[in-house]
Amino acid sequence: MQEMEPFENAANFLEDVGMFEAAVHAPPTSLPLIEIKKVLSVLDGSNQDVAVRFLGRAFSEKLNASLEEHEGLTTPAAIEDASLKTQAGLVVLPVPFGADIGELREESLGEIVDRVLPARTCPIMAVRQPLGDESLNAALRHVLVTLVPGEPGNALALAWACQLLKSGGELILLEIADREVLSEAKLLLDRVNITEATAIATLERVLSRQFASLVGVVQRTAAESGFDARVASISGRFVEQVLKEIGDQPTLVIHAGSKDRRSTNYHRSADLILGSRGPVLII
Amino acid sequence: MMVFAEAAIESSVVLDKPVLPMLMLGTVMTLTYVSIAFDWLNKSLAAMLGAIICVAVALSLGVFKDEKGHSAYDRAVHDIIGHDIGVIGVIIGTSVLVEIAGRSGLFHFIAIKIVKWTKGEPRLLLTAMAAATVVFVTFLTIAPGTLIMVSLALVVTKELELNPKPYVLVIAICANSGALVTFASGICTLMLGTAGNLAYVDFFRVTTPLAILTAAIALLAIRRIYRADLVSPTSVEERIRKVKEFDEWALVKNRKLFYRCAMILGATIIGFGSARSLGLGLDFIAFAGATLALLVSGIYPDEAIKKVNWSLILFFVGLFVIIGCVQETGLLDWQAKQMLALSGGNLLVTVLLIGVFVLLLSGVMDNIPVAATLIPIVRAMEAQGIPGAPLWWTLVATSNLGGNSTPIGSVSSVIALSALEKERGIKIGWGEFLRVGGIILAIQGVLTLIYLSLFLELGLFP
Repeated sequence: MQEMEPFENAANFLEDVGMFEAAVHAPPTSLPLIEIKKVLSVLDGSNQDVAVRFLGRAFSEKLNASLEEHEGLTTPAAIEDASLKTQAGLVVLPVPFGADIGELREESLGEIVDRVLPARTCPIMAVRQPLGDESLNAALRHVLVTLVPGEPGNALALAWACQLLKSGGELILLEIADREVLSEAKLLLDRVNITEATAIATLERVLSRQFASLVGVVQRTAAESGFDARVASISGRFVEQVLKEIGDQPTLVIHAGSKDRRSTNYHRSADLILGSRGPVLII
Repeated sequence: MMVFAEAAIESSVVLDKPVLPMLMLGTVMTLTYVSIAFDWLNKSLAAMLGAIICVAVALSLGVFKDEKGHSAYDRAVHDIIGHDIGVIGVIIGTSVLVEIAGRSGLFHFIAIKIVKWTKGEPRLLLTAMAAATVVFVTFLTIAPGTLIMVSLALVVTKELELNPKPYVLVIAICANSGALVTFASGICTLMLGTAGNLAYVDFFRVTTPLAILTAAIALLAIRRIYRADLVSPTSVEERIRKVKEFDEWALVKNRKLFYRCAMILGATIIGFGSARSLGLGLDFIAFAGATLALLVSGIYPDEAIKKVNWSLILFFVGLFVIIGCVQETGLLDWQAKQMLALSGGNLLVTVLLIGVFVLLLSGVMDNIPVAATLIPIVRAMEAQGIPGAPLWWTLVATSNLGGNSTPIGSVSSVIALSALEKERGIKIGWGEFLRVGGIILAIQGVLTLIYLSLFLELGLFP
């Protein structure tokens, strides 16, 4: 029997199978409701305060929450206390924070954020650069959610994105292959002639299956709410790939990160904040 | 009953050109076809090699003569390729467009919706897959349409614990019926439609009903042969629950692209239908659709362009050059006269002869070279004053359906069986395929020939 021509059909076949597998392996799921009472904006007196204020206000409006702005919180403990006392559902703060500015600004988050991040009791919005209103508005309409296989916070990250985009915009679901996904893809690759095209298609097939339920619920929500949603699958260095996907477009990045300093996902959050020029929301 | 010019019959045994070039180039063409049929060489490579040998032999034997401002080489290569550039243009344009439309998820989305509609009932699922295959091939051409449907069949039957064989076979065979629906639904259809100058809209009158008829035959035969496998192993409630959980939205990668592609594909089909009245070629419409799809899809153009089946394009270029060279020797004209002599001057007999010949030959070798070789023969018959339309429509119908008898007879069978083996490790051997495809082709063949005869006798050919 003639072989399926690998350059022509094999990659498309894998992609087709992956798409259908996603559809049949998508157990019904729903996104959690995002209901927060308060947004806490922490100001440090730097030129980032304008952006922190803007984002705090925008989030409180989009989430129907009240806004509280605090100045003079100079230690991680003070920020944590304020967050607990106000029962904040979101903390917006500049990175690096206040006293840390000037010291290894490009290489380190600074001591304050580095301690706030693992101790957080609610999502943290890291404001990286003093962007103008126009760029921040654009970022709120162009949201990228990173999807890492096996991360339980993915659904929550997507729920935040869908809530923010209710008035329109574009959501990018960036599926990122980790070691587990790559090994599953490797197993599947043994069954086909390996070419660059089939390798990519196999990876996409595995990722499609991993995130099928979430993609389904997001696409349905997007169709109902009127925003655009597209899925992209990648493998490679996490931060590098996220930044490549964003390009120069002002974008809000949402990542379901871990609080455990020893985990890879904690370091993904930290590296993402460090590498990003735009705002990063760590769930 | 129409009768041909007797002169054509009488002159059938007279060779009015040198025999040596006919013999040599005819041998190269035959060897090329045999090497393709028996898979001795990759088909594109075989065609290119055959073309190079043909050009070299034709030039050395003086088959092509210099004309005013036109070298023999120009006539042997550039004129031949230039003559068929329209077909190549349509293939390239539609490949890009179909690649983008196919990848948008639109057809996958519809496919899952159809499966959900059947609630996974095995026989209804088989019927729905046969119908969807015809529709998808109509819009996407054979290879992409078959790929999508076979992938669906493999995934869904695994999930519902059904035997995939009847589903894969119904797709492989109904895809060839789908290729009959419009001018641009299949490569053979496209080649023959261009060569015979057949109008896009006439396909709806002549071959679309035949496509529905032959697909229905395939479906009924497979339902009968595999009736024992078309039973769900799980309870009705369990099956319905499983299918209800399928989520068509989970496969949608880009909803915006999805809607845009649907619009561009629709506009291109309307363009194909009205091209002739607008004074445009189908290649122009195909390129316009492809360019628009590239512009609005946001897909990196190189990604889509590299998915064009360049192997097929090279195969075509080689094939056209071989046939052009052989035609110049006068061999194909002589064969046309032989065929007329054999039919005794009766158009109906000629239609039946060509029909049976193509139905049988397309089963054992790629139907594209079969159709490509018969094009100059039918043209030669037309040049003798014989009405061409019945012959062109006969070629369209039989070259597409002929591949149903064997596992290598059509691109849809090759894709479907290869996918079944790769993904599920299930092999459908020659014996099993011949048993199923052979029965189906026998019924389809007889009905097709009756259908074409009725069209001829009742004067229904446009």
